[in-house]
Amino acid sequence: MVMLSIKDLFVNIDNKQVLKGINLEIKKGQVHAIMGPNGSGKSTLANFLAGKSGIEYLSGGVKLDDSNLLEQPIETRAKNGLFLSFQQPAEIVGISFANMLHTAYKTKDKDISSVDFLKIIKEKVKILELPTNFYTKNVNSDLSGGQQKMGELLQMAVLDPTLAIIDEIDSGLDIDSLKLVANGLQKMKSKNKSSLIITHRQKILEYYKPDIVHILIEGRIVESGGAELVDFVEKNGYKKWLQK
Amino acid sequence: MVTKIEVDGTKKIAIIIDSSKSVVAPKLNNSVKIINLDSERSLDISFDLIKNSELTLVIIHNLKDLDIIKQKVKITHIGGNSKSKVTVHSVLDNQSKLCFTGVIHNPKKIDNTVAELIHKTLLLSDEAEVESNPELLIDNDQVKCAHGSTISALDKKELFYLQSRGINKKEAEQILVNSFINQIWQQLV
Ligand SMILES: Nc1ncnc2c1ncn2[C@@H]1O[C@H](COP(=O)(O)OP(=O)(O)OP(=O)(O)O)[C@@H](O)[C@H]1O
Ligand SMILES: [Mg+2]
Repeated sequence: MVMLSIKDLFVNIDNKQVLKGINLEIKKGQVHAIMGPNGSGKSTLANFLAGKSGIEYLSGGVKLDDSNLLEQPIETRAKNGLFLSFQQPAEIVGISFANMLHTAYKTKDKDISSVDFLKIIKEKVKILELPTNFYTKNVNSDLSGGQQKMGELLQMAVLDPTLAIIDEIDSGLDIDSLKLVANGLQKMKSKNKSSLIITHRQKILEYYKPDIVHILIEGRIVESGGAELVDFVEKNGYKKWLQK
Repeated sequence: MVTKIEVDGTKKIAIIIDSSKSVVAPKLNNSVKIINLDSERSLDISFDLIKNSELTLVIIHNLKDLDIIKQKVKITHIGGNSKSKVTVHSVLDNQSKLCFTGVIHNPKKIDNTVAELIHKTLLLSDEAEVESNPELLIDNDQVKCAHGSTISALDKKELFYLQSRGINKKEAEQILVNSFINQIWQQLV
């Protein structure tokens, strides 16, 4: 039933405490959202879960589908169903989304041919209503910020994770692209899959509705609730929690 | 021994120095000449550019294990209105060593020339060593000349990105190495 469980997680960056006792439980099929001020630790949590180096683990536990996530190398986490949609994706010159994803896909389906893989990726491009040749583009190089986010969406669709951590996929998107991305996320929803979406804006959560919303302030989840929290933040910002 | 090549018209040349023979040139226009060298042969090459000629030269070093390569490439603009562009990408792994000297020579009275030499090195191991010596012998101020050399390691952010997609570390590194090498072919299209 539980997809991700985080217990009392503390981490440092450069000897500075960034996450100060995170507790979070995401059940299968749920969408959770995290909102919080700039610098509150949202991306640090996302990156830490994906296994980024440079984030120093102090204490606490993280389980993904009952396996100890923190023991696993980065690529094993991905094979076990974790996916991170980056706030700032890396730009890799000279390799296309199709080639990179084919290599990634082979880690699950060892013998899949280029031809068969192309069928899969083209199908996803179609479902997501991306430009037809999008998969031939180089991984994030020569793409606008908004197009990079569509690249993250495409990768998520192809790799089909059980837990997607989606870090500000809506920032930098124009109104139409925002709808396209939100609809794409909506289409991937299923009762066996969960996601954790980080955002600053209400808009994307109107299309891609969270079951639970968390407010992260200075490395702590200070309140959790339903969609009404999103409205509250949109109207009032974070003053209420910052003053404490 | 120094090989000497006279450049007339427009020439595009690729030199590959790769003991493991793992670098594969993409399909290029027929006019591109590809020279595979190994350390047995003389690596020193001199290009003389006559009037109105243009040379695009790319050099790839893919060194591993105990490879030791010493190479000197000299570009001489012996005629005016000539143009040279040299791009060198070097990948050094294990305990390999590279000493690369790129010389651009523009004698007196040879006007309106353009010369550029860029050398980029990717170091994959702490024990690999590179020495990059650009030498400009310019006896004329009617020329445009630029050179630069950079040394870097694999980009951690890019590596993390690929691994986060499930690609194992070795394979992710190979993707980034190939990307670094392959960027050079853009010069020849
Ligand atoms: N590479 C880094 N080096 C040093 N400090 C860092 C680094 N990355 C993050 N931090 C620090 O960690 C804290 C949390 O940063 P994080 O990126 O997690 O914030 P965020 O909540 O995602 O903010 P935003 O909404 O602006 O994306 C910040 O105080 C920041 O200064
Ligand atoms: Mg962030």
